[in-house]
Amino acid sequence: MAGRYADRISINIELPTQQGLAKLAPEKNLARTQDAMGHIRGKIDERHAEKRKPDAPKPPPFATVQSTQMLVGADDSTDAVILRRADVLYGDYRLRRVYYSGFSPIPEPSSLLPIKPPPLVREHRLYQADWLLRFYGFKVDEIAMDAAPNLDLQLDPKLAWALRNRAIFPADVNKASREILLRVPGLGVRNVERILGARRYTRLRLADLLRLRVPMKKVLPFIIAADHTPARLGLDDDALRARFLPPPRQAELNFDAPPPPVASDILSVSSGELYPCGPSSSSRP
Amino acid sequence: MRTVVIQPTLESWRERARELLALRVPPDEVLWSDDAQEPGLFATTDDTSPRGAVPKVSPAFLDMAHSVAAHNAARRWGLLYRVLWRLTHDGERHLLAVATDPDVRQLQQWCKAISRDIHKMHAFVRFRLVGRDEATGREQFVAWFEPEHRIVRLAAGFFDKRFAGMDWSILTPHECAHWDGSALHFTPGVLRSAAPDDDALDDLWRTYYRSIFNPARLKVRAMQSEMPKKYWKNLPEAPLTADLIAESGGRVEKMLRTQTRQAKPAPKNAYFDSLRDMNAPKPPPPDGPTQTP
Repeated sequence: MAGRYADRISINIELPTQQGLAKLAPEKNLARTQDAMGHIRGKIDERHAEKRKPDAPKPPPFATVQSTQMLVGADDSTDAVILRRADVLYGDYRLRRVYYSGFSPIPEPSSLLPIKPPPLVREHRLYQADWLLRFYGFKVDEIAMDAAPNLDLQLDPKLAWALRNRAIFPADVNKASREILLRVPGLGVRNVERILGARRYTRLRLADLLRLRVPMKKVLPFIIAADHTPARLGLDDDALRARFLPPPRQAELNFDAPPPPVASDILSVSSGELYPCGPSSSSRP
Repeated sequence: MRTVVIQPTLESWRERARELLALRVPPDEVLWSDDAQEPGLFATTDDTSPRGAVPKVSPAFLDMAHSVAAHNAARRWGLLYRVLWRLTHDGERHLLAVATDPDVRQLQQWCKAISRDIHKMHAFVRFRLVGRDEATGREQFVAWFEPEHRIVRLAAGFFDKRFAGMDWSILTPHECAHWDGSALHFTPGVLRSAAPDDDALDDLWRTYYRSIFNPARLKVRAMQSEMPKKYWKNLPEAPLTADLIAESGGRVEKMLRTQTRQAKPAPKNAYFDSLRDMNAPKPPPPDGPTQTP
């Protein structure tokens, strides 16, 4: 019914497991919620198919997209459990978006709920992981493993994956496939497309990447460019992880935009030196 | 070197660029100026009328030019012409695919600035109720907005779809847009003093803004990047943010210190009962599989 009047429909799944629902929202049922999503998916697909038939009369309007919300930190579900549920919703039910919402304390706290909210950065890491699943060709098991079911709060999940899989790097920006470039920390989907487009006509150098506002400090250990080969030592170095960790004290994190290149990035590019600054100034949120 | 004077619009630039291109005038021989007051005032093309066909360019370039034309940068016309020249006369037909080219990159960044400005205009226009049309009975609203670039025409379509049911005017220093329920029209820019200052709806809006602010999810830098300072002076809710931010820590502390209460018993109502019924394990059917609801 709502589908006739709205262009997007959202049924909130709220929690990734039936156990969590049984504790916090006993009237809600995971299977029934997913059934409803399946029903909506059917209607959306049906409408889409009818629209593509030439000469067919215009079908009655129906929503084109569905989304949902999952609460993070209200029950004890790990990030792996949350991401696996999201993956099912994207795969089997074709949801456009899963929104992750960190549990936030309320004025009259209930004894059923945790006292402390999860750190805001956890929600941010889940969104990053979600993007990796949808746009970067990652599988849940590559991001959140059984051995470490929660995402690293200090490093973004793509960088964390790259540090665990150093053997596939460095990737040559002038030759590597799209799939590999998408796995380079610091290269986003759009910049990968730009690189693929531009390298048909020109050999890419670091100055080109800088012009695309690629975060140089992050990518340099992982790429080869016409004028750059990372020191083998750099990738094998045990201290590589430490170089990416945030400085010890941080007032707040800006989760929105990748930082624009700063003077030290340009310096490092022109000098060819990888890490001109000490760890205190070399990593920013 | 020749100086070409145009109006600050894409159409005006396009007309002259076509002529120059047909005459094979290279970009470094043209100075562009966009302070022509009247259309065609300086457009004297009689004896230099173009010979030969004008080469075609891709729709992608025109889309880009459409956006770039709205940007403030004075050198946009010259750069558009240089890229046009490179696409058509320098044999770089693929140029737009080379995002690392400094010229292309610059155009893309201007496009991005324009779409960001449009996005902010969609988010930050605040209408004030000024009256009701006696004849039609429709409410009339006026908003004042200061976009960074000349985006009123690019951004206006959103408002006439979204606020089709009211009469409105959006006033800006560059250009004003007006909607009367049937058509959009545009008039030249006006001064800030032409727009109303405050109305009763502003208080309602401020109360709403204060109430939906969640102190437990405070991210000052994200807030500031979403709502850059340059827009504050025209946003009725902007003066609230300093206090809301300052109080946040204390409000959250208080919540965390509050004694937890027992979970409230579930309300008794038919809807919840029906949900519980559906959740209850069903007795096995006498014969054959059951249908799931």
